[in-house]
Amino acid sequence: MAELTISADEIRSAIEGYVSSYTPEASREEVGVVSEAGDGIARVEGLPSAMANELIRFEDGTLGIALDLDVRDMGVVILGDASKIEEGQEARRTGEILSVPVGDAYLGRVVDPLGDPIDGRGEIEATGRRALELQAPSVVQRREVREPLLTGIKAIDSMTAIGRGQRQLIIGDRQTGKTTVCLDAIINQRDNWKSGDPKKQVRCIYVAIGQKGSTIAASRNTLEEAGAMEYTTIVAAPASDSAGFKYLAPYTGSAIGQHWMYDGKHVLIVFDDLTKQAEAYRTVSLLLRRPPGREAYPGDVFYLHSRLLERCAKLSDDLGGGSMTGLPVIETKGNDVSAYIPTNVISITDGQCFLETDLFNAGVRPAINVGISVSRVGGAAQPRAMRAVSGRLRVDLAQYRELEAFAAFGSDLDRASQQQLARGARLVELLKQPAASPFPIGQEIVSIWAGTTGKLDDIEVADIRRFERELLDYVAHNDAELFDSLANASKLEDEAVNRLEKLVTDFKTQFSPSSDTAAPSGSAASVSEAAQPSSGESDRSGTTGSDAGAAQSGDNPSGPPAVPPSPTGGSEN
Amino acid sequence: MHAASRQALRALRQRLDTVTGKAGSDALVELAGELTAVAELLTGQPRLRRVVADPSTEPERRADLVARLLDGKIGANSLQVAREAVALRWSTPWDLVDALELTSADVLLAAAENDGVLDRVEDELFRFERILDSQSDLSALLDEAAVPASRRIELLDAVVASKVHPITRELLEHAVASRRRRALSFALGDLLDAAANRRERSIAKVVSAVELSADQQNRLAETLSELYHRSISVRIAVEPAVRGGLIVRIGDEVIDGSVAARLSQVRRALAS
Repeated sequence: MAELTISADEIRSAIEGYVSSYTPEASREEVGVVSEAGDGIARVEGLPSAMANELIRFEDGTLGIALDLDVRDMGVVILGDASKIEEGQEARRTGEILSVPVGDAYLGRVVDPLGDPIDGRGEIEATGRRALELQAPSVVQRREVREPLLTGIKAIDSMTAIGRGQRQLIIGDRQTGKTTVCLDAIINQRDNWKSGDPKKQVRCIYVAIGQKGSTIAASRNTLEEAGAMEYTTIVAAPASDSAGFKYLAPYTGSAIGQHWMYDGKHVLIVFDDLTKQAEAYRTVSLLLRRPPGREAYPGDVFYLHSRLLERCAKLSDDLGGGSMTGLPVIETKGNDVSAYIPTNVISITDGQCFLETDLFNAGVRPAINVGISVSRVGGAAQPRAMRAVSGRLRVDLAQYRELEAFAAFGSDLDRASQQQLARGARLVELLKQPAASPFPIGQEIVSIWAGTTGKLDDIEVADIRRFERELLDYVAHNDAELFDSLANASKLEDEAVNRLEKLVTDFKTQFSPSSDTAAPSGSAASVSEAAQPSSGESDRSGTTGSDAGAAQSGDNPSGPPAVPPSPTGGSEN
Repeated sequence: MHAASRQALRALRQRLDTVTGKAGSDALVELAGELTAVAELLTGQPRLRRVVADPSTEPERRADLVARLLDGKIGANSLQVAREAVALRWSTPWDLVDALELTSADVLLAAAENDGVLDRVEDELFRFERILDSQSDLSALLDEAAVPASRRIELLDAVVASKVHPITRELLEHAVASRRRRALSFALGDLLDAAANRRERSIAKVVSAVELSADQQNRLAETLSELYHRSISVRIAVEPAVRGGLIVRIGDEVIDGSVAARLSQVRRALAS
């Protein structure tokens, strides 16, 4: 029996002959066949050269992503209507790894997660394609976050300032105003856009995941009416879309934004919301038979979010100095921030704005809980003047919160505490803001300065917002360029402070409080009634309460200070 | 494979034993080729595969479907084996396809055994496996699923050409062309295991109390060959502890006719 010996030379020559005789057949196309279809997933056999995350086209034109490459078949997530895909149908490769077209033509349009327009305004002329799964910028490609991204919301810009290139999480229960915060941030970029300066302009992308179609339409209307659609792209994966689309939508938005970022431009991207994306990913993973982990989420749900959010960055000057700021939104249940997905995303982002239902219901809107909201970039990305005036703000509010419990009693407090309560209540009132009306930074600075330096201490709480509005009008009328100089100042100049002092003093002589003509006790009663509508049954009870307060600190020159209404209402305390 | 498939595979192999014991090696090579072709057909047709392996339908109807489809296209023996395979109960349709490929390899090994070249085939397979291990280029090119099987078989032939026994070549070609899509080295490992098992099955290890005469040995070998439908060679060990009678071990089976065993049985019966 002869032994089988094949020398290495023979093998080499055989391989060379084989390789050289290989002529790629251009017309040959691989065709796969669907062996199973259902629940939005199809298993396709054949197609041995399919790549991971490649787009597969079915017979009726629907696309799918090849997510699961197994020995004999692949698991394909169907992007679109799965009802027409049957066993035995053909499936072909497209040769493209998951990618979307990108370009400036996307501004002002509403698209689906594959980049196709759904607003009925015709095709989009793309300037290229970008893969959805590209790596985030590396450490050396980044720079520190130093430029501010102004949201126009006083509470955020003063205490949890956001910089360009930062990720700031907007987290809260349902119906607490998270989307409003994000839309306001987008609307506030209008003046930047109008200035035409590419260093200031911020292109915005709003990714709507799993929302009702009516909600997306309403958001779009809000943006259009505010003139913000001009520089905004909406990527919509409404609730009626398949899970594959909802899983992809944030990556599509990110790819569109990254194209601009690497072009040296600034981008703001809002992911509303990532909880629904995690749920869609869980759906897809369970259907692909991947093992479920905690709360049935697959093991890589952290990676799902981390690779998305890491793409928001501030690039170094070598790469053009562009930036992409991310505002992911997470919906909690019962204010529980220690659940799985919220803790994941909190650990990924550079800070969070926590919106509370209790505050919202008590009329503090935006309902930001400044105690536990934080921005890890913070002061480095604030305009200097704002940083100077808002230093005390957080401390004042923190002290106010501590004392709030005693506000219900209203009596037996020393003067300093009452002073703090009064100041805190006015600051809380000052930080309230209506939706879709962002404040320019100059106005924010004036407003916060007035609050923290005690200029509002002698104004009734109910009058604060009217006072602010009229004060800002007054300043705009008399010294308009003060706003600009404050916005661009490298520090809060004494000269600017003097101007502010003079303006406020002058304005106060003109300002008429709403209860000017009534008697002091009557005014107290009307103020208390206005402040506590739930307990306004009779004048007598209101008057008695505030008379007691008036008797306590009657030496306040401008009348009895209103008993600071506790924001949550006395009965709830 | 789950329990149902394992049982079915065992039954199929036993059926095949009766066929392969008698046929000539050419017929067996043809049978193996046709079984592989049926497995390929089922791999390429998911719907047919699922229908043919559906345990909720009646076995005869499945067998008839297969017969109607393949009648005239493959030989009578192959058709018979295919009908029987399909009539068994399989855990999943892929198990049926795998079983057909496994039995095709079995048939080729049986052919080698009948021709008395099983040792040589096994040795050549082993050497080729070693060559693949050291030549990763060759291994990678043969495993490339995107390239059609016919091209890869060309490469295989260019390498081994006339250096191996035809049956080894058939085995290697089937392994390369197999659409089970596993790496060739795994497939070779399985073939080697199968060959070793088959070799073991043809050797009977006999333990006896006393020396057996040549005549007794021949008679023993003949009886065992009758019993197992294949030629069995006998190896004898002498052990006085057996007291008398024989213990015969063939592969995994043991026939215990020793006096010692019977004595212990009696002891147990008395004790209870």
